[in-house]
Amino acid sequence: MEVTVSQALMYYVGDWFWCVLWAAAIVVIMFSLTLTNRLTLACCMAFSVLLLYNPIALKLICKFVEPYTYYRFFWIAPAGIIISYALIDFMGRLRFAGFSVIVAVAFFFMLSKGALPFYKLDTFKLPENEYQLEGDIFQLQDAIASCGKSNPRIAMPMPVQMEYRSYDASVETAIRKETYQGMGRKEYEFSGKSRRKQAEYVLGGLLNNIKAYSPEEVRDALKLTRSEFVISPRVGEIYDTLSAAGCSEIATTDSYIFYRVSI
Amino acid sequence: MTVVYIKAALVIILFLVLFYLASFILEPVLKLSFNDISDRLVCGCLIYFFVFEIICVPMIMLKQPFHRLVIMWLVLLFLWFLVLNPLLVFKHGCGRISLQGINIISLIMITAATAAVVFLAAVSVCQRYTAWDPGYYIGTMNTTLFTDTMYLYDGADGTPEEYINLRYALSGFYMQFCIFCSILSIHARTMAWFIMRPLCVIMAGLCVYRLGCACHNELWTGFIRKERRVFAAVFVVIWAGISLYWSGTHTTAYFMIVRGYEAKGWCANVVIAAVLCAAIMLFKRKNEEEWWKRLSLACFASVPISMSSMALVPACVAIMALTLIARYGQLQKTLARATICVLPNVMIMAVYLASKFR
Repeated sequence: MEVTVSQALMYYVGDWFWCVLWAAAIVVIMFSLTLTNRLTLACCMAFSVLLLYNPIALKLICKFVEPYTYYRFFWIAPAGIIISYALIDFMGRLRFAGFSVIVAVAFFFMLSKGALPFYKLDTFKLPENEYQLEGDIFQLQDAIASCGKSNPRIAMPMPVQMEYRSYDASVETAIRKETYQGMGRKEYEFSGKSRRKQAEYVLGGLLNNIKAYSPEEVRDALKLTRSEFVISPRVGEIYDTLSAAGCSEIATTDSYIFYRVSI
Repeated sequence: MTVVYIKAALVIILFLVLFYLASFILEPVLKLSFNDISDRLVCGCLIYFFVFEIICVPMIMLKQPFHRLVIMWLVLLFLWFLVLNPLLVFKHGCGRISLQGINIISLIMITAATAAVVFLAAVSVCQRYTAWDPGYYIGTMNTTLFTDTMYLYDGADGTPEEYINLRYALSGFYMQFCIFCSILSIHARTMAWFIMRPLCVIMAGLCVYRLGCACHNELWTGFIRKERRVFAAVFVVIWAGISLYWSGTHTTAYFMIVRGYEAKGWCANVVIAAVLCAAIMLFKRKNEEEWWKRLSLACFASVPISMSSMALVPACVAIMALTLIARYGQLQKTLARATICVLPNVMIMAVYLASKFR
């Protein structure tokens, strides 16, 4: 994945609103400093651009790290802290406390209009239990425990796999994380992969309801990945395919079916 | 859930006490002086993770069982806090926390800053985050506890690793929290969501408070003049307010509030802030010797806290050193000191790259 410096910058700050705020904060700080300090800050920014924030440095850095993670180099110029400093510096120069309070209130009013606070994000949810997990994972864990098999090898859909092992480390997953991450990329190519990887793609495609496969293809994939159990969403076509491929249903939860592979 | 919240709060307090106690070794060894609790907590946190790294990484590389690390670390903590610290305090004394200049305004502002940080920590606890990263990192902690091994199994899928992945195993961050999962019987998910994340917010708040103290400008007029504590506290309140709204998915605030359980979150919000604080004081030319020591402490503790610091901290120190040279000259002295500061990061980066390109 190719990334440019400006894209990485936008990754970091989020959107133009914050980008403008950050730039404005730097300007405010620049004007508030003495000449020597202003030159020092300008020098610091010039060295930052020379060493890190230019296309040549980006190319060099990306030889060692994933291009996607280049945005982390902007952490060393923390926008949140710079904006806070600019605001407080501006407030500090006002003669009366009342003016400072008005400036702060006006600033946060503008912020509330231009940005979404964390408590209004989709991710904000009061924890229901000490694991911050939802119902199906517990039901699945009960079903897996009732099989009596130690370290079972299970093929599971992506949403379950993302959470399951952080709750119950006693299972092995038949589809590797890298396979699922590969399936999420645009350049995902089925051909040219090892047989094992292709088998993981078949199971991943089926269990996430991305693509339909024949029972024979699924049977081969289950054999190649050495899957002992399968978790699938409650979708009729997937159920039919897995049943025809030699899987027998053991338990059901609100959203998933748990099968034993008997090939 | 009330019991979970109380237990989590107690464990967070336990970590803060450990960081506080860890700081006592710095006074006689590095000749640092502390006059503020926040200063002790930040420096204590840094030295705590640095010492842990020295114990943890060799044990990971030697494929030792995890319970051995738990025993060794508990023995070391016992010796450090209950034997060495009293001896050091008895022999050298310890810096008193200065209450000079504290008045009603500073007390109100410090209370407001504390409330703002606690509110952010509470918001962080209520974030539900599902992705591959928590799956891997918390999975690694859970796998460590289940298999009694360290980095020998893939945290995301549970399959045995062909070799220890140095991208993660050169930092002892997750193992540190695993130790407390093990001895306090806390599930890895509970530790990550209810303890590591708010602790990251609190440590970030303390670092911003330190930055506020460093940035304090005596020339200001208005209500925040003269008293640096008031300024630092107002700084924390405003930073907390801005962080609350800075909710893009790659921002430092996101890495603190949503992904604070990850080492990366600590790197973005604790390590970098500690390095910047030292850099600002070096530009101010106040207690130069002491602030070089503090910078080296932040750099030495950076990789133990997060592997992301491996490249970020040397980059930050390089920019700071070049600017210092441009302003004050002293090429050799500044370069030599900056090189010493980033030496561990560079060495770890060399090991990591050698393993990557072998």
